[in-house]
Amino acid sequence: MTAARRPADAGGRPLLLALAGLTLVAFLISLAVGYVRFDLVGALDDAIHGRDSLGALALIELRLPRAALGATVGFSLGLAGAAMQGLLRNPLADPGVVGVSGGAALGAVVAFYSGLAAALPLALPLGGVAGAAVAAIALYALAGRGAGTMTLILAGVTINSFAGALTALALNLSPNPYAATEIMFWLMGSLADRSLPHLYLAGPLSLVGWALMLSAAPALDALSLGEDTAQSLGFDLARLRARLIAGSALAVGAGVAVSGAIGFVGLVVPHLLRPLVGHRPGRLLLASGFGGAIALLVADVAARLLPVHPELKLGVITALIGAPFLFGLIDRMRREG
Amino acid sequence: MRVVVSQAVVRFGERKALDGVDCAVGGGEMVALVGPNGAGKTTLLRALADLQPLQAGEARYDGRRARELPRGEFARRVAYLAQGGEAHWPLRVDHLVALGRLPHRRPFADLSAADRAAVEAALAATDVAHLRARTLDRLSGGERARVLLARALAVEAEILLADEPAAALDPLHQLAAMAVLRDVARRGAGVVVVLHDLTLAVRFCDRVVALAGGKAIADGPPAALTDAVIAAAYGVEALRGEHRGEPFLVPWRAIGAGREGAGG
Amino acid sequence: MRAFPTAGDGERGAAAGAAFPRNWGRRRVAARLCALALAAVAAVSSPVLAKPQRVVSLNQCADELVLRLADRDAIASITWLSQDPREADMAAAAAGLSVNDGLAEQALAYRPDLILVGAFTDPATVALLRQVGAPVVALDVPETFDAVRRQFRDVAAALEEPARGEALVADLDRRLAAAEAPVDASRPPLRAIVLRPGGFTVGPGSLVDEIMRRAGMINLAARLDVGAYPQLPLEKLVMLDADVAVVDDEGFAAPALAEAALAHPAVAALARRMRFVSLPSRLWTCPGPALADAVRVLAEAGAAARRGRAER
Repeated sequence: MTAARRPADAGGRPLLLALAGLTLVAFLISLAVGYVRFDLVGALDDAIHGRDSLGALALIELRLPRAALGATVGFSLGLAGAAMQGLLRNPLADPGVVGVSGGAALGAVVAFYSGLAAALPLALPLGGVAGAAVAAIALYALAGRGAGTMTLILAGVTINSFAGALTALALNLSPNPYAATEIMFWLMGSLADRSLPHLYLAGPLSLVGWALMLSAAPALDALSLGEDTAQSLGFDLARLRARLIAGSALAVGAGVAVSGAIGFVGLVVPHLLRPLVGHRPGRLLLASGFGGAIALLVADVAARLLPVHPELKLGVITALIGAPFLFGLIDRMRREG
Repeated sequence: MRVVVSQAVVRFGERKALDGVDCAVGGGEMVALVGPNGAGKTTLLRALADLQPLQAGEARYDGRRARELPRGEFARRVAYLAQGGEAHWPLRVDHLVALGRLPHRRPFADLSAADRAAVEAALAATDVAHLRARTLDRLSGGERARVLLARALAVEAEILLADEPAAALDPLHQLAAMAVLRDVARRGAGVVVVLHDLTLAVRFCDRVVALAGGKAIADGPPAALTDAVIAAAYGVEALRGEHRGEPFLVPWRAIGAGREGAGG
Repeated sequence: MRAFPTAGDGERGAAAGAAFPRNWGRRRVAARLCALALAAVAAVSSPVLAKPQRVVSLNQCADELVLRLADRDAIASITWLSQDPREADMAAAAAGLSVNDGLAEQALAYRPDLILVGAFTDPATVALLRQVGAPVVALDVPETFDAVRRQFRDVAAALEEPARGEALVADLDRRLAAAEAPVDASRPPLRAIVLRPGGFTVGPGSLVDEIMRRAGMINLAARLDVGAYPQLPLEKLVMLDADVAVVDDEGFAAPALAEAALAHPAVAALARRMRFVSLPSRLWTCPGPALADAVRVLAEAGAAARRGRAER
């Protein structure tokens, strides 16, 4: 046995570089896919030279925000899923399952349909952030501190039901007759016809959220040994919880405000990537971010290519894949006791 | 470093887990913390590790309170091994042991040469080096306990507080673990170990602290563990003896159980 | 279908009782027999002999026709929608009348002798009304101007006001003639697309399609193969390179996502290249003289679009 051999670096830089590369590829594919074929290179050339062509308009105002938001929201969902799973030490935690996305949708709906967002555009993502934060705090109060899976799921069901009901109520109370029909967008999510202003609203808040969550990586590693040990290794648990709750509220809240609640990305992606990072919660964070971006971009491309009209909501596609996956996961957990 | 806990009082609801306990440990000594279940051993150990808020009394580290020291420095100088061996994700053994180096590492930096050396030393000392690539879910209970001990050793702290590190181990590895801990103490660290095995306590440790009902009823060299103390703490009679200069102390009979008088 | 008792029954009974006095001439017998025969035929062929006196409308489009074609005294109730202040003419005409929410119980409370419902009125409501024996006339959604004229005449007939029905048709035709864009074979029709809230457009073969045609425009949706559920992703809208966008924007004060789509920056950028004309759906969702206004609005916008293009 060689002495001082470097511990094998599973899930190190090569994995992250590969995931980042795949994200870029998925982003480019999303730019290239749409409802109309046009000369992308020509359109890009027009856009760069400031020529006012239809192709440039479609590329910059429609395809670019859609692809960029797909990557941004997907990154937020994957990262938040990994962060919550690390904090709650439970592989079933996911912003959708535990109700954080539902809370975000409620906050955004209130901000939008009350007219607040029309007066102050930033109120839309901030409303989402506020709703997500309330849900996350409620979740932690109900199921934090090493509560078992059953408590966690029940807490999530409770928060989701309540937030969903309030969302439907808010939509019904809106004086605009179209509001009541828009619940599918908020509960299942879509990136159709999003705009650059949406990206500007959601982007900066998401970045702050990402930074907060990623900075918790070493603490999450320590937390796998339990709260006492993590504290003895020098981590302030109260600050860790605050950072993770705030970070996931910012990223998920801002994302849901512009895309609606899209579930299962934060559940499936960390689960698939966990073995590739040696089950280390810290490394899983950034990897899940990229994984989530790839997953959502692929789902969005599928939504546009599938011959279904009107366009399938993204949450439908992710649920069709994610729900059976969740079944399998629960079944395996049950069998392992 | 010298850790001094004075007049510690800890209440959980109505019950007093610690009722005015004094305990001190300094570099180079190995202290055994013994007593029946629920006596307050884990609570006292956590108080020494600054993990347990005290309703009265205080803990001082080289004369200073814990919050006067930077978090990172405290974590480097005081290591804690929790009871029960919680480890949530099926990490690789070497990655888990490397977690002990977190207080020494800058947040996103790789392991330094010193880190790797500490990890290797810890793996070797607990005889788990051959398991380095295995994941936790593939280890036996005893192997797992040794890996967690290695993690605590990897911190290379001045004070090591271990809660029942030998509980799940087979006799060979129990002796080995105690030998490792004594070695750590000999090299200058202060070690406090919670034990149920009285022989291990009197054989390997420089001092024994006996707790019962939240109070310290004995604190001194192994001879302080008299029959009266053992009877008061455990309600048992113990068999004493010596082999080649090293004592052994075996719980023999519950007090008031048999009609025969105390054995030899 | 049992007729509701009306004032005529008593007279008919009295005539029959007096039919056979002992000394009557053959001509009088023949005359009485003819009258009886006519009354019997009338009783069999139409359940209500006299003009409906208590008309209830459960549908907004029916409201408008009822207000235009029936005597005010004959109207028992119309829906609350017709009192919407944004439709000044209709609201003025509807003021003071009793309103309903389109529910069956409310309708029956008026003891109606004619109920008008729409094609999309809840089928359960319609079935209930028919079961109770109320005479129900269901209006479909006309997709051509010929169908519109037919509907005017049908409703007029149900209300026993055929003359007013013809007058309404003539009024519509007169306004249309004034509004339509002159057909000019040398100029190709303007390429137009309808933008409705929620990214919807209007497919071929509908009334809006015909309105656009009469205004000298061609509905590009026909080329897009939009099918039964005409949703138009903004990307397709951009690449269509239409000349005119007909925007159905009700302008509700309260926000909704459906209308936010019309405020997308891509749509705003298109405003530089195409002419946007606002055509609220209330001008064309119900058949009435306002349809001609819709044609006029589009024709004027089309003329402006051509002028703008000539200038460029």
